[in-house]
Amino acid sequence: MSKIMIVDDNRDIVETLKTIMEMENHQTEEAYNGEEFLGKVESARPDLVLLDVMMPGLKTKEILARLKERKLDLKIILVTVVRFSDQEKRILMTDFNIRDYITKPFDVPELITRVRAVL
Amino acid sequence: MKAKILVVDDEPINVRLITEILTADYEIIEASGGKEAIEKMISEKPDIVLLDIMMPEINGYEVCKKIKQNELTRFTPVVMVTALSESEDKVLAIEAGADDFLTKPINFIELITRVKSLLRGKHFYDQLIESRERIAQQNEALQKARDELEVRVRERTAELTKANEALECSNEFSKTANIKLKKADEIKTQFLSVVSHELRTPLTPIKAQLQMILAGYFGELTEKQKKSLDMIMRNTLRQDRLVGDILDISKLEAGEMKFMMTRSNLNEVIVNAVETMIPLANPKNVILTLKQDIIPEILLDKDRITQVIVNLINNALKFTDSGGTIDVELSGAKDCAIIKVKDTGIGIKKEDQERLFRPFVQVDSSYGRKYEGSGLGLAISKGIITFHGGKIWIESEEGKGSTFQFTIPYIYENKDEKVKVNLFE
Repeated sequence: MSKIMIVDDNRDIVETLKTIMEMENHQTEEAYNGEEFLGKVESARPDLVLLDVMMPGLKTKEILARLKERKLDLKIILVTVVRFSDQEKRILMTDFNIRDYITKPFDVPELITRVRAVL
Repeated sequence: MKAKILVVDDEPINVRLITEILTADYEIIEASGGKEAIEKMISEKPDIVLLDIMMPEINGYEVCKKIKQNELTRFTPVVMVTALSESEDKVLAIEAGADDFLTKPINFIELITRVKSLLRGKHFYDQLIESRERIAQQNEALQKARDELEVRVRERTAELTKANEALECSNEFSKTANIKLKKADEIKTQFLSVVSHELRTPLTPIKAQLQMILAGYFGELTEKQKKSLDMIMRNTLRQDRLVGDILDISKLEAGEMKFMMTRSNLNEVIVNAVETMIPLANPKNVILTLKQDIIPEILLDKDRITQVIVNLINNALKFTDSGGTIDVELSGAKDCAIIKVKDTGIGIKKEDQERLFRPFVQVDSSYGRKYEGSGLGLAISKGIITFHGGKIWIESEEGKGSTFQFTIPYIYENKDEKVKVNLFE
């Protein structure tokens, strides 16, 4: 059993991800924006973060930069609607410790496979 | 032209004598007194004056002084002719400005020699005057030209200043226009990104929840429930594809489609695309084949080219009945790769073939809604191929099948990452 932190501004998506992760026997914690996530992450110490890319408030880049500053070695899977270029993927992986990404609307079996692979 | 000699003497005999000697080579003008001499100096402009000293009324010295004082005549050589040979006479003559002397009785050889010598001097002098005048004229012309030039330079400078001001003004204008344009561009990019996010977000929990229900995570389903949920799922997926297609078309139209060009192995791209389509062809009992030449690596967007190939195969599958074949072929021409997708389907009428690549065109309502699609696939494919510098077209015969073909040039010439592709023309 691992601890998964779900970060998304859409409550239904958070609820859905929570259901899926619980089906996989994981413990979950939620945050609905970047600030809340950054406030909770240190005490929560998640094994994996499912991070939405487009939330109101703090931009994803900023969230990732602050995590890097704090030297929190987190495993992150980005949940996104955008397509990353190979170069972007490289930067995301080497500079920000992004392990994988999944596009919305995602496939449940695909999400489960990717989460298992990263954990 | 003969040189003019003015002979001034009150004794007609002296005048005649001198005239006789000189008349063959010179034009002789006579004056019998000082007053007449001064008048003729002005009217006749002689080249040389032979002036007798001893004359009634005005004597020769006075006449000489007057000649030398007048601006018009002062450079005309004056030869004083005197019966006296006293040095006092000569001093007076020099004071009066005389150029030379002759003593009476006149020695004719001396007369001719002096006249010649003085005329030579006068000739040089005249040339000097002439060239000085010419120089003065040239100077004047030069000055005039310089003045004109200055005026023109001033005018031109004024024009340039004005043009410069206008340019600065229009620069300022285009700067503002550019800022506005950039802003509009940013808004457009942001708009597409927001729309893309907003349209896909609701689909996310719908699809995930449906998958979980259908997978039986929330309990077993009755046949009727399953059938109903399958229908919801089908339409959800269709909606998802439609959103994707509309966003693709909008991005292509707006020049916002991001292409990721990498040097790629087209053979591999095609093999992968065909392999993903085999699971869809098999249940329809359609045979999918691939024939290919080895092609050099090409700069292309792998995902987008895969999208085109998959889309063409998908189309072919839609219109090909059970037992038919779809042949995919990759061949290398001189400067481009050619990809063909040939089916044994229903074919497309000549008049429908051109419209086919425009957005939202479905070939013919008579084919019915049996063949479902967004009607955007071919337009998107055309946009993608156009961006790569290639062409896409169809050859088809009604009832016998269609061959869709596209090319990708070996050398990609488009340096820009974004290119607006007008798909509605």
